[in-house]
Amino acid sequence: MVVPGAGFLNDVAIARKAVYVTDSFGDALTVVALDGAGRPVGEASPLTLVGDYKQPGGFGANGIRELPGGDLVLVSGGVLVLRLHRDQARTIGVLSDEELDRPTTGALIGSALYVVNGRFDTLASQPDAQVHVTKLRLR
Amino acid sequence: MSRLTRTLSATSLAAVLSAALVAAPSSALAANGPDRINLETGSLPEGIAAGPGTSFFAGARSDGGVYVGDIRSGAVDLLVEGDDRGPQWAWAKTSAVGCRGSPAATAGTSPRTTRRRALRCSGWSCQARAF
Repeated sequence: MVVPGAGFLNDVAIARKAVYVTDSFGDALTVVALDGAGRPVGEASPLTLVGDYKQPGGFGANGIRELPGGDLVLVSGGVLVLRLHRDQARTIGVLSDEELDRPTTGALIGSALYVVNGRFDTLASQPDAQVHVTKLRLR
Repeated sequence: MSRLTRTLSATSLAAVLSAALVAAPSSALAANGPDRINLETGSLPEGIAAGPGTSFFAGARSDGGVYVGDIRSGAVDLLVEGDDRGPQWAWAKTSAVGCRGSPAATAGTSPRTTRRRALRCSGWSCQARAF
């Protein structure tokens, strides 16, 4: 399936009713609806990121996961909780930790999101800096 | 001996997995465990995925290595050995930019069965491999 205008399709979240894909060089997600059997239905369409998301000059959106209630979590420099409405994905919350430095992706395990803290900015000057997984509580 | 064993801990892969596979709901355990789990320095970690039980998989962009860790104990060990690494910011011949657990996410009963539940998506090689 072709995604018109895509820059760098990066990560995918497979939800019950749709598939969501990040584009690291764009300010929109791509959504593909799924039927009851999990098959794609129709064309890929954009979900514009609105709210706190700011597309940087370079690499932006990276990891994406679906939360149990249907909201999405986007790892993009910070970690944003998104709620879908029509053709938009709006920021409704920010998960933060003082040690986060360019997180890349996350995995939902129980009631927490575990994100890879890539520390790209730090590694540029300190190649042997410690990298780690950081726990972010969802509630 | 793996690089990770040298640099991070002496915890064995079997110990990591056995800790992760103890029957207990991950929802209850996520509240416990460390807030920070160290990965190997220089590995350029990128992708992470939930594994069986309280385990997770994390991939190294530097060499394609895949680590397995446990959110409860914080232990991490090498699940898949990576290739030789190139310069720090160069894309390795094999890299692990994405990582997923198997859709059959029931807990394995041994390291051998758990290995079959990790999926690595590589960068330039355009390959997905199951372990």
